[in-house]
Amino acid sequence: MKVRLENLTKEFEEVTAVNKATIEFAEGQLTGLLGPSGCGKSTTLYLIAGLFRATSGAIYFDDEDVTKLMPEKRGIGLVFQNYALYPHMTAEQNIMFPLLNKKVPKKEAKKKAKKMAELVHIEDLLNRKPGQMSGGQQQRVAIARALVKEPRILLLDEPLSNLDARLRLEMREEIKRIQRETGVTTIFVTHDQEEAMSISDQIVIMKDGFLQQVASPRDMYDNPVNQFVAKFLGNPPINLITSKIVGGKINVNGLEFDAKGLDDMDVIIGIRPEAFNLDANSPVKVEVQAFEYFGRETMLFVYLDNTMSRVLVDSDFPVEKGDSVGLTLRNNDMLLFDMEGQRINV
Amino acid sequence: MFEPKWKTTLKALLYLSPALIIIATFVIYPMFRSVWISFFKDYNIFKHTGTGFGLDNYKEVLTDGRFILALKNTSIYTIVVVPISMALALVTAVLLNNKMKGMKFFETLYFLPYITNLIAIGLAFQFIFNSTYGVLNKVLGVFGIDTIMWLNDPKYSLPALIIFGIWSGLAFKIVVFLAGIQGINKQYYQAARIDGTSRWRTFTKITMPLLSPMIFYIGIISFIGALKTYVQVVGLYGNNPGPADTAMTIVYYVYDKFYGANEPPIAAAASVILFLIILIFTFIQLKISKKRVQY
Repeated sequence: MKVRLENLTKEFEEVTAVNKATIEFAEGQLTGLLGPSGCGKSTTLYLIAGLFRATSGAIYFDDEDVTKLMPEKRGIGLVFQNYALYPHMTAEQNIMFPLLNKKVPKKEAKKKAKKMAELVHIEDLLNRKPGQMSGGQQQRVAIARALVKEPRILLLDEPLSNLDARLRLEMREEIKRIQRETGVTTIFVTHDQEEAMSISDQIVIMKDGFLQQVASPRDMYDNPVNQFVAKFLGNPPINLITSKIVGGKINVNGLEFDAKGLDDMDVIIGIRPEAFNLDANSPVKVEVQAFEYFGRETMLFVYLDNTMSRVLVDSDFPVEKGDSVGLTLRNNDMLLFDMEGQRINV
Repeated sequence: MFEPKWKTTLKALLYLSPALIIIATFVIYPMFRSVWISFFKDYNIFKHTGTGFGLDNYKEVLTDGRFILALKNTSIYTIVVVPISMALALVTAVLLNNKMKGMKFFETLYFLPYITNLIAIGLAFQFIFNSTYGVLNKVLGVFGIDTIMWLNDPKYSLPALIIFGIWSGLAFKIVVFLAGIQGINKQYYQAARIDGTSRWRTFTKITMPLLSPMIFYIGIISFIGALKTYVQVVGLYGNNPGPADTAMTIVYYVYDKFYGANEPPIAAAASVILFLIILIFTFIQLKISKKRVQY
């Protein structure tokens, strides 16, 4: 099932949470709905679920207009941020609940619940109540409950934000696996770019109610449409340095970039921290202001044209604060933005 | 960080002392004293002297036709009033929670009986139940039901008391249930909605179980309250327990024996019996709740 939003707008009393969004969510894919808090991503999810009514615009499931359809008629599964498992029911009763609503015979419901429990690996926990389960286990139950009625679309609201770091890594692989195994069109909301990058087939990024870009993780990282997207993706974040194009070239602290065919103007140049190499023979010398050691890599803080910048290098090269190091560039690895933050293609 | 234990204990006692002194004087001391009094055939409550120590009073109370009547009336009252008023309160609370039109108006309305004196409400009910001018008979008349002598016909005095009892207890229960319902996480309802849960199933499978601790709490409170019914009788009938004692309750019997008949030992024995009845039922209810209250 393909989900298409057309000029979708949702206004609350004072704010426009979603502003004329036109987005297509591909069939059978895992899409990450990404953005900072307050960007309208959760609102978009709830609009698709039908828990919010759209102010204007339309929502299509394939070719069916569902804009005015009640949530229970939309055939969606929704996993809430805090799971919303019924605390007085066991895991099994929770999973069976949507089926019993549809008057599925109890025996069959039990069988289906068991199958779902196997899919999400909680077959030993069926008799436990939510209070006796860990966050990760509760989430698995919540996913099973959402999937048991064979929804057309699975929606997950910040599925990993209530889990600790280690469990988060585990559960995001699990969500990916479950989505692969069931093939259900899945949309999940997150504010964590790493989470979105790691498991999404497609990322939808929003800001202040406006859609910014829809692309695969790799494409979005390499070709962001604007400075916001460039900055939001990637950790450590991209370095943004104000500079100038002079005669088709940009010079940042002695490092030279190629901007052939572009007129002379003020620009913001974005350089990813991993785009640098250390080279003792390089004529471009910078002083290490501070550093952070990550094990495999070390991040150096240096000034490039008076802007404190991050440089990510292999840890085999020992550095100390105050060292002078030589920098070179990998390829012509940079992104150019105009002073308004819009991308300039080189 | 912690001071020596005896010092903190003493401090706590000091802070608690106003409440403790009042409770000890007006609750604990009279409780033990009335148990003590209940064993004497004759007892002077001013000199604290008594004669004829034994169980005679209990024998007298338990064979007294008026006490048996009071026991029967109180039992019927409790069995009818508690479930009906709880069900009505629950339904009202659910309706109020659905944010219907005129909500603010209803909020004031349903809270009124809670802050109004029961005796005053009783007077109002005397008018409602009045056989000639009363609203109730007028309404029933519309449905072709003949005039009922609510307050003067012995057949109807207990039903009248029950109607009054149900109504007067509603407000408190509604307030507590409404608070309970509003405390339930909205996401359970959103989840239920997405899963296509019918309204009835949402109520029975989600609202009721999640409210069960509160339902149980209200159950015990109103059960005990119903067994102790007294003010309702006074409010409705003034200084007699209905025509031919037909609205006699246990506490009214206790009061009547103490002041009316001036027989404190009999009153004490009756109140000890009531205490034991309440104790036994509360114990049973607590046992049941361990199994039935959902989480």
